Amino acid sequence: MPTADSVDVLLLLEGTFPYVAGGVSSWVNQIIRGFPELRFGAIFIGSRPQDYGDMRYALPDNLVHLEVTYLYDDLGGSDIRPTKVQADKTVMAEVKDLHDLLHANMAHPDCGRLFASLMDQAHPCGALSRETFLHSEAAWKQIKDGYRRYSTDPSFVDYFWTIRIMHAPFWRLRAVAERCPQARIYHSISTGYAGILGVLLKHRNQRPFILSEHGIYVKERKIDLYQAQWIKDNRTVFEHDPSQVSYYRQLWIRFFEHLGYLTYQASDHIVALYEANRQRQLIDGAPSERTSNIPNGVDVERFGALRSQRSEGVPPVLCLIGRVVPIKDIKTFVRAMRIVVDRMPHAEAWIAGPEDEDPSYAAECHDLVERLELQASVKFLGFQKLTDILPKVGLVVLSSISEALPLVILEGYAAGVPTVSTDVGSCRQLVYGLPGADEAIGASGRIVRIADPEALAQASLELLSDPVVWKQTSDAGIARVEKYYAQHMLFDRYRALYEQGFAWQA
Amino acid sequence: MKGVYWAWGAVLGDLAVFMGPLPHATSDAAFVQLWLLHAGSCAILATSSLVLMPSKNRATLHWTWLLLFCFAAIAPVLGSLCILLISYTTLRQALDVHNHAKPQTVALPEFEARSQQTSRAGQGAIRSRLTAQVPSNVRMQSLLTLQAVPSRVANPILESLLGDETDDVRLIAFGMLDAEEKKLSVHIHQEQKNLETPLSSRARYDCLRHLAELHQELIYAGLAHGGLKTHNLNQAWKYLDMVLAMDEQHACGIYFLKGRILLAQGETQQARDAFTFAMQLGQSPASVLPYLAELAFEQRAFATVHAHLQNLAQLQVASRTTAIVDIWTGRDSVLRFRDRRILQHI
Repeated sequence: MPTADSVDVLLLLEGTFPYVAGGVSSWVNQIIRGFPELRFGAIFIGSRPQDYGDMRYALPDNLVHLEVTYLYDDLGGSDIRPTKVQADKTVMAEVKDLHDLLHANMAHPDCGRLFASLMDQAHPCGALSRETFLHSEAAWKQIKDGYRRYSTDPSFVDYFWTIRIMHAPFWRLRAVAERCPQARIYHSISTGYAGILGVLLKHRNQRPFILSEHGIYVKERKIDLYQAQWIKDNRTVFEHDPSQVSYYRQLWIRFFEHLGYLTYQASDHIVALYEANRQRQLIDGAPSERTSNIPNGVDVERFGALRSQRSEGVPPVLCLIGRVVPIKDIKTFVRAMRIVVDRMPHAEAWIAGPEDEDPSYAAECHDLVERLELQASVKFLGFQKLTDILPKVGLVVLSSISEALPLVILEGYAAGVPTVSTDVGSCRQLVYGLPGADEAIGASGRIVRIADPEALAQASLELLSDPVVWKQTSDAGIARVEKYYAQHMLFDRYRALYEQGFAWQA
Repeated sequence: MKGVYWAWGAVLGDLAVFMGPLPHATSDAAFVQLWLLHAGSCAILATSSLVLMPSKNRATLHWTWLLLFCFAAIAPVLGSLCILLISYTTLRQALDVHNHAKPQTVALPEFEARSQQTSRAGQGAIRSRLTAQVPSNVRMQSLLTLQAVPSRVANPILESLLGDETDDVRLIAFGMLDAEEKKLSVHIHQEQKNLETPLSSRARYDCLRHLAELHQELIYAGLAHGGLKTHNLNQAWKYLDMVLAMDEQHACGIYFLKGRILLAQGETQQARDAFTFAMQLGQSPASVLPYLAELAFEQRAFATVHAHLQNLAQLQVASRTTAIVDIWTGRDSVLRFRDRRILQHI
């Protein structure tokens, strides 16, 4: 793994490049390769080593430093019997003040400063070491007080361990901050833990901090947490109110909201992919004057060359390019194929993406294919090079329940393939265009509601069975991607941001 | 209660000291020995009595101990006995208070087995609290309330939220629907796997029947529409045909299921025949009559609806159905429509 003492841009990556394939990782890869004159470093933040496989990307030459850290690896502690630690009263009072502010007045100007300064003391010799948190009377008392003041769940044991596990990553992040190479700009790709590392690094080194969000991290965590099965609810049958979110669920949601807010407040530039996401960032606490939109872009020349490889006519192939994970809602695509095949028996569905990220979900998808008797029509291809498959497909299909600005749609457009997508993220804008000149280009596909196999099938059949409509949508896609989503536009905008950051440095 | 034994031990020890030879000796050593032994007894008694004290008297621990010690020391044996007597009295009083605080048996609250509350949160009420104009926290609460609503009622509402403009609402609605569908799919997958293994005739019959029921349930719960509904109905039919081929004794439940599948397909005449046959075979009228009434209603045969519901009025049925029966049979006590606060079946 490459290491360096200093870099130009240090990327803070949570659960993405280079160990996870996907849109965000491709974007990171694209950015690093798009600025060959800059020396990049990257900190990969993961949960546990066993959750990731090998690297999914070849490391670019200008990625001169890569560090991998796991937040929940080896939390079991050592065999050494712990001894009681005497906590610093002043620091513990500050910890209490911070929590009071987070509860009552997060917008207070001291909140971010207090958090960063306390994080900075969370090192082995600091006043807020991990041992202080784990083995001091003051920390124990603060947890007890917190339970008495705030918890509406009867179980103290669950409260105690929730607080412990919630805070555990901070000491890991502080250790990473200690080891980091010098950087001229810190650039995080999400809020959450990566964002908090950015907050800390900015506080310690006084360098510009850029945040580029693809999806909205806080929103995604919220949705995960609302449905998570691992969070306990110990309310009795008489206390249980189905309309009230259980306490620990609320606690975890607030935790990620706080991380998001603190990250937004510390960021010098906050970049969203499209306007709806920028609005969401404002709601979550991003200062308006620091926000902007920079849409994704693709290498139009590279993918445009594939158009000449296409055969005559519209291939009856619907291709879903993406990981086989619940957020892509592959099952809706498979269900839609049952309807498509009933009316167009020679149609095929290709699912081009790795299946190892969520094997149980992949198994469910395979079972569904069997249950719907689609073994002959639905093919799981695994990870594929887009340049190999795009010339052979008739439609790029996206059945996701959540997306930001999907690169695969743009890559499909550049290769002359229209899309049928669910109405998520900026997909409507990509298909029908933004009001004005973009909209005048025409529809480059169809948009349907999420989890609606019937609508997805109808829209796909409409395009596949009518070569004239297909050609119109294909041409509109090519025109749209060339005019608004070319890669050089993305690089120009980020070059300006980086130069601003470097100039501040000078 | 070990403190009591120590206390009595101390009293006996003190008594032994003063009944023994030491008080009669005249040497300084005997005098010191006497007072040391007496002080030791008093200390043991004070400490053990302290344990016997009610908690409110133990707040000022050191002073209470000193008082007890002095009391026992000033009046040998007698003081100790007095202390024990007082301790016993207060302890007994505390225990009496404790006894009185024991939970008393109270009458159980009256719960109606067919609770009316479940249907109060009717579809209309929940839907109105989920519209886009409602504050997001109220919408989220209403959405979560659907977890406690039967899936037959909740799923169409969740389905309508899949196109909502708010991401959070849309995705949670999706998650809830997906979880419902997954529950049934897991069962279908398990039963299909079972079917591939060697099974006894009875087990194979049960397995096929479950598969037909599960496919029908996907439709009943509103989880399959259009082409998928047709596919699931075909699957249900496939398994039902296999069950019917094995069903020599004509189980009423199978014909009841057949009626429900036919009803889902819109084959009303055949559905009615199947329901009637199921009832003849022994299917409970409480489960069949509502379907027959529904079929009659769709054909605008209101006299037949009335007759079916009149029969239903004699039976124990769910509160939701009771409301309909009450209206149709005139058993309803509300005279004017505008006085009716809720229509439970809506």
